[in-house]
Amino acid sequence: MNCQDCDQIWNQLLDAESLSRARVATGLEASPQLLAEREQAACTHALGCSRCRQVQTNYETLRRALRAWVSSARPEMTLSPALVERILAGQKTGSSRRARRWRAALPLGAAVAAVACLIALVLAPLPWRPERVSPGSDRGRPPGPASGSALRPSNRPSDSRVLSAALADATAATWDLARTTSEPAARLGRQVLTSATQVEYPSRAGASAADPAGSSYPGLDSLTGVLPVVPQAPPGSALLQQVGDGLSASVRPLSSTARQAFGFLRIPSLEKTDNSPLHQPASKGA
Amino acid sequence: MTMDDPTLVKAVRSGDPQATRLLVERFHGIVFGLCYRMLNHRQDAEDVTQETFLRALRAIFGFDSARPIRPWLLEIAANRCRTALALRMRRPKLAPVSAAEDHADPRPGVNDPDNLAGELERAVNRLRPEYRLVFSLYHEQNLSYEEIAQSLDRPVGTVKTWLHRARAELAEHLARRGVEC
Repeated sequence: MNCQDCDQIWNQLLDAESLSRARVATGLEASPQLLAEREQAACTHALGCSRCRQVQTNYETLRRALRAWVSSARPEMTLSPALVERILAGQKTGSSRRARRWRAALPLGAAVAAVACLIALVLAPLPWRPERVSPGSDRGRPPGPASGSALRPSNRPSDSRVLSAALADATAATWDLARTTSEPAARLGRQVLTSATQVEYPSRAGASAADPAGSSYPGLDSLTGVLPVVPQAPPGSALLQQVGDGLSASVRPLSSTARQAFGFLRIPSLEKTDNSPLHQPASKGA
Repeated sequence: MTMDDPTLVKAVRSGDPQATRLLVERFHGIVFGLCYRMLNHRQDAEDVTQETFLRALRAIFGFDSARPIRPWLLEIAANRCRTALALRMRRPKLAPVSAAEDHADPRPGVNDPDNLAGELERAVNRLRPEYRLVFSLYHEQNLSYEEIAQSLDRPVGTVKTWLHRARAELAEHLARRGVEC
C-alpha cells in the first residue's frame, strides 16, 4: 500500500458515512467488514509514514465532525411556516399573471391583424413595380401598352399610365441633375488622366493628343464613354505647372513665433549627420 | 393521504391543487436546506426556494416522470443558487472578512460534539461554492455521485474530485483550528 491508496481508502470511509445507511443494504457500497479491513490496512501504512499519519488524524477528526454535523439539528434551517403558503400563492399569481398577459395581448393582436388587412387591401390594386426608365430613354415618353403591363392591373389603365409617365419624368430629371453637377469633377479627372498617360507613355502621347477622347487605350475607353467630353484640355505639364505656381504663391514663410512653436518638426540639418559618431574616425584600434 | 412520487407528479399535472401543496410540503425542506447551505442567508434562501418551486411547477409537464423528482428539484435549486451567487458577486462587498479566523480555538472542550458540528459548519461555509454544493448534496441530501453529476451537468469524475478536495480542505481547516479527537 502506498500513500495514494491510503487517501483512497479514507475517501471510501468518508463516502460510507453518508450513503452506507441507504446503500449497503443494496450491495452498491462496500460492506462494513470490508471497510474495516481497509481501514486497518491504512492504519498499518500510516504507522510507518509520517505524512499519512497526519492525514489519517485529520480525516479521523473530519469523520467525527461529520457524524456530529449530520446528526445535529440546525435551528437556523428550520422552515418558516409561511413559506409553503408563499410558494403556492406565488404559483397562483404567476399563472394568473400569464393568463392576464394573454388576455391583454389578445386585443393588441387583433388590432395588428386588422391594420395588416387594411394595408393589404389598400396596396393590392396599385401597380407594384413600374417600369424602370433607362438614362438614355426619351423624357416623358409614355409607356407603351406592352411595357410593364404584365404587372399592372387591367382595371385602371389611365392611372397607371399617368404614374409611369411621372416616374419617367422624375428619373430623367434626376439623371440630368447628376450629370450637370458632376461635370466639373469629371473634367478635372479627365485632365489628370490625360497628363498621366502622356507622362507614362510618351511614345503614345501623340496618339493620345490626336485622339482626345483617349480611345487609343483600351482601359480608358470605358472611362471616356462615361465622362463628358470637354472641347480642349491643357497639356499635363502645363496643368502641373499651374498647380505648383498656385501653391508657391499661396505659401508664406513661417514667422519666427511659429518657427519656435513648431521647431521640433523641422528636419535636422545635414551638418549634424555629418558629425555623427558613425563618421568620426575611430580613436582606438587600427 | 400517502402518495409516491410518480403518482404525485401525475396528480400535479392533472391540475390537482392538493397534489401541488403536497409536493411543495414534501420537498421544500430539502430544497430550502440546500439553498440555505449555499447562500448562508435565510431570506435569500427562501426567495430561491420559492423561485425553484415556481419553475418546477411551470416545467412539470416536460419532466420525465420515470426519473426521481428529488434530484430534479435539487438541480433546479442548484442552478438558481448559482445564479443568485453570481448576482451577489456583482454587488459591492459591505465589509472585508477578518483574516484572523484560522487560528486555533483556545476555548476548552472543543471535542464536544456540538462544537465539532459548529466547527465543521464554519469550515463548510468557507468552501468554494462548487465544493460546498457537492459536499452538501452528498453528505446532507444523500444524493449519489451519479445524481449529483446529473444535477450539476458535470462528469462523475469531476464530482468525485470536487468532493475529495472539499474533504481535504475541511480536514485541513479543522486541523488549523486545533480541533482534534
